[in-house]
Amino acid sequence: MFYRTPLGWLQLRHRPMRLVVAICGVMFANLLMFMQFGFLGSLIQTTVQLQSHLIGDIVISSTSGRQLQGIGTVPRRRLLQSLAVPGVRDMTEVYSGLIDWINPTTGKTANLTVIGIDPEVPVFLDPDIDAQRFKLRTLGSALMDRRARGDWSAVIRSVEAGGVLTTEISGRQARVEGLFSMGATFGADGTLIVSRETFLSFTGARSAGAVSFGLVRLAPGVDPGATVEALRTVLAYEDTKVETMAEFLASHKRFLAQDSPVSFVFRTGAFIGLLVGAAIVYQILYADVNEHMSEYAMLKSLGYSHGYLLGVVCEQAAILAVLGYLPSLAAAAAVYAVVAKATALPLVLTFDRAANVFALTCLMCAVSGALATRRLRAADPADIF
Amino acid sequence: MTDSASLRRAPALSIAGLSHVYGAGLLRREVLTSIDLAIAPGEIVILNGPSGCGKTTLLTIAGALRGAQSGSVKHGHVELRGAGEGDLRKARRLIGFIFQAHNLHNSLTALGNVRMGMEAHGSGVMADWKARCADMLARVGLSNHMSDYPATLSGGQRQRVAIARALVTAPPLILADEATAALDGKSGRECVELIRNLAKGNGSAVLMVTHDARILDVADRVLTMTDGRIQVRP
Repeated sequence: MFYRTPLGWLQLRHRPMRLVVAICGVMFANLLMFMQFGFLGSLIQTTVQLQSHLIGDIVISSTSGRQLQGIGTVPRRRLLQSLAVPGVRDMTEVYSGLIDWINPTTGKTANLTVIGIDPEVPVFLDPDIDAQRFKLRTLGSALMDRRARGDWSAVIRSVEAGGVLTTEISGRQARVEGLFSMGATFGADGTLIVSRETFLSFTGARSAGAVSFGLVRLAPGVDPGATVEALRTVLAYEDTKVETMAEFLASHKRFLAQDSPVSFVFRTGAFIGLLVGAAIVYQILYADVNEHMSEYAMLKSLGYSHGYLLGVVCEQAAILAVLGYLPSLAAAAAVYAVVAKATALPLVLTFDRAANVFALTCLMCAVSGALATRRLRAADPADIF
Repeated sequence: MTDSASLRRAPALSIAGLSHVYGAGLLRREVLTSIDLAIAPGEIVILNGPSGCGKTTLLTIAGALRGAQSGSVKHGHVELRGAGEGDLRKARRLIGFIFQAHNLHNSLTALGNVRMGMEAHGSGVMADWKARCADMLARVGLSNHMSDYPATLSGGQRQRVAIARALVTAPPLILADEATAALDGKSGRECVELIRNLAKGNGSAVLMVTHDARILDVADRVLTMTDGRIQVRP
């Protein structure tokens, strides 16, 4: 059986130290890309983490709001107007804000997203939260996020033991009566769910008329698109927007992915990783081509084509891509686990991200290889006599 | 072997009216002038002459490494003048080159280097490559060094690997440029005799450029070149 001598691989293997350096370079670049994309993905995911748990077909919110933090407010009486639109079954007001809470375990101040809901109406898809919403009827009662960032073991243990943890939030007495799972975001350490009345008592400055957003639920079989149009006609105010739930989530994600500076920062980080990797691979391949100039000229004199030599360099680029990628995949999985544990952020090595980074690695090695092959032109067999 | 018998077949290499010029205008320099040369299959020709007389240029043109500007250069019946890069490349595969520097691939074993000589011909010839390459290395006396890398071989051994690589496909034409210059007298002698014996065995024609007066006796014919012209010895 005929197979081609794997010349590129043999040349790389002949210089083990150089090969190791090249693999480390690719690995470093990949890990950098994995981290940056991981953070960006986590950021995009967490920005709608809470919103995607909400029950609602249509969301009415302020036009100034672009993400949950700083979502703005809508006058309550406008939200109530929506109830008159045909097809709307009900509407519930949701209040959202940030509060500081001194963690009873660590004594450190935590920054929590606090959500005020009507305990009589299902607001969250999560059955765990829904089953506990009646606990919020008493003023001062709260449900706490067990996956909040930091050590909340004191709170979690005493609540899990069947008890109620009495503490103080914003100068008011508060009782943590139940737990649920949500997780931290980049902006907040966790989430606290309370009733609307409790929310207003915790965040003294807010008035009941300034709602964060309204969740509109439609009667069965009603077309959300048509109802959105109808609502937009009724609520044709400059500061109020009506979106389907999907549009609402998408616009929050889009703001983060495209318009926010953080997204740019992470993309730049990933790009720098790509450049560093490309520079290292180019350096290694160029040095290898340079070192084998007379052998390459010799191969041409044996009748090998220029394309054959291009193939050798491509082979090397592909080998570096694969050999650098595989360990970086394992390293990324390990680092993701560590970072996810430390930050309570969802950092998951998805197939899509692994595929994207591999594609970028191949691109990086291909560009470097293509640049390195320019040197091959100098391999002239007539010069070796 | 007599010249008349072998010349009945087409010469392995025939050059007629070949001139070659480097540069243009004031820098124009004619390095080859009206070269006529024919080498029969199995014939061994040594070309000597002072440095800069055009020997190497002649060798690179004969070896299809450089295009011919005028006259005619034929391998067998195949005309190289005006041939494209693809045809020149094909022509090179029918030539065994042996250089002053061995130019072995340092990442490949002796066997791997010889194999590269075969691989240039494509998959059709590779069926029994290992046996052929091993046999070729045995014929140059390196049976015990097949797995050795060039770095661990002596100068003479490396040159013998290079000879094995050049001759493994039994090319009809062998071109050697100062193949003994980097070797001591004994190794050089051994290498030239190897080339002669293997070439005679295969019926390959050999054109050897050398300064080494000690090896002139292996040739069937010795030509001297001065200022771009070949002078046939009386």
